[in-house]
Amino acid sequence: MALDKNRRLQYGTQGFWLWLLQRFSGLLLVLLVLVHGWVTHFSPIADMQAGITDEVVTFDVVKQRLAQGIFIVLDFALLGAVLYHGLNGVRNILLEWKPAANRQLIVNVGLWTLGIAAFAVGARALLVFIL
Amino acid sequence: MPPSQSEPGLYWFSYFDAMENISLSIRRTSGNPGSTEPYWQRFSVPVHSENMSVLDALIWVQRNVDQSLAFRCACRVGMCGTCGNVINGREGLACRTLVHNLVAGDNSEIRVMPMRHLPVVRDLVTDMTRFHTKIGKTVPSKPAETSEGDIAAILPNSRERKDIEPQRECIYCGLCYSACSVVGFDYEFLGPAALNRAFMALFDSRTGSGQDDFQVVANEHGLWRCHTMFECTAVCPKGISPTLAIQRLKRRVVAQKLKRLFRLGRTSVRQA
Amino acid sequence: MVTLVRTLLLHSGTSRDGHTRTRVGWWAWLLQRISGVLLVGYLFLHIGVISTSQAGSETFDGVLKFVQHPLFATLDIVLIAVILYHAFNGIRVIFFDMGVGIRHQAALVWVCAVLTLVGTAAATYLSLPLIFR
Repeated sequence: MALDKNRRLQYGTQGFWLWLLQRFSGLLLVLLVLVHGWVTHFSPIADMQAGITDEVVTFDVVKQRLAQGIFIVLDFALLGAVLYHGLNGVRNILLEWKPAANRQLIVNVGLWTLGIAAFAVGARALLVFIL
Repeated sequence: MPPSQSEPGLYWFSYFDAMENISLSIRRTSGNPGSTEPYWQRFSVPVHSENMSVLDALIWVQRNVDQSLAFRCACRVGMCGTCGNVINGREGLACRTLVHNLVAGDNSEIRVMPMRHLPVVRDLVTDMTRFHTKIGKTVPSKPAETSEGDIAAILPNSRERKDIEPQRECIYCGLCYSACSVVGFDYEFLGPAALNRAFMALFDSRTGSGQDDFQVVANEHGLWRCHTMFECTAVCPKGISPTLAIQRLKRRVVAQKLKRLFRLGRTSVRQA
Repeated sequence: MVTLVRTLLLHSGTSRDGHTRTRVGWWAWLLQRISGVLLVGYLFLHIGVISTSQAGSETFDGVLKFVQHPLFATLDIVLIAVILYHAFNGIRVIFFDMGVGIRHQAALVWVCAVLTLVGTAAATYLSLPLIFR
């Protein structure tokens, strides 16, 4: 029972890539979030305890961290991956009950817009420390 | 020596007298157009032996109390998959669910309702057309091309045989379909049995290699919809894990698509 | 929506039908969904907070001082628990995708739960200086 063209369009293969990227971004995020959490939250606590700084995290602390190239890469990667993974997850939830083609269109466009906008806001925030 | 009391209409009693009565509540629907409201009806059923099954209880009710009770059964030994129901909240075959396993401690009630996600025809009988249609969708379109005289040999020790054999136990009872929450969420979802069937066919080297065959399952109403909740695996009377079959299908499709993306390997999705 | 509510009730054991089958896998999935939604909410909050950097370093420092109040540090531990559960369960699912451990899926849920608790305990310990200062 080969699928005719209309059905193929309706069922599409984009679902596959979204699903696969969800897995990959998830794995990547396990590492990125771990590193990010350690570097931004727990490491400064250790610093504060050792008496290096009195407040845990300040503008300068962040600026110092982002002076190193590796953290710029990690932070941007984290921003992209987490927005993708999170919004794709939301997409799955929104389309769980009625994945009709027209609803898919609205949800896809809406979430992509939200994702790109959020990425832009996040990137601008990061650039303040870098530039 | 058990006394034989086979008066017409009276269920066979073993020589233990009825040890207890259990309360059998059945979710009934009249099936008449215009009055499709379901209701629970309770019957008091004598337990005549240790091996009494829920099916025995249903038959007792039908013969002794209410002849209009509708339910399906056939082999009564767990082979045909006809008597699937939801018994005390869990999917199961009526002929393989023993009364004494259900009535324990304070609970002496057995609640039987028809399988989920299927239209109810009457009482415990559901319309399984949709279930079977979905199974039919996953049958491959092209047979293998072989020359005359070829006999396909899948040896018992072969990897292929070991992979597929456990999944072939499927008796199409529909219990997995009833148990799967995603079937409840998505009307078009193929369901565990259909995807298990697809696995059996597509992983069989005797099947022909149609490009579209994987496409039938590799879509958002098929493989990518399974959330690995394992509800199917939990209720299968044959101990099959449809989730296992689905995961293997997913892996095969992923391998093929990645290979195609990076231009490695063949373009046919048949061989992995 | 009705289906979801009905399914939730079915799995919660509150309905008279009771539930005698292992629903651990279902609960694991549901918690994955819920934790995911919570984390997306937190994500947008976090982006919002960090983007106050555009208003200048003094404003930013003010905001940071506010969110490093001991109360927030405690909430952070809740956040970490949610992240840990989501991550461990996600890894569990990826194991299944690779064909590992499918027959032990229910036990793996408990493994995730234990790992989450251990991780949260560790995070609590490490956060103590922030909470009590």
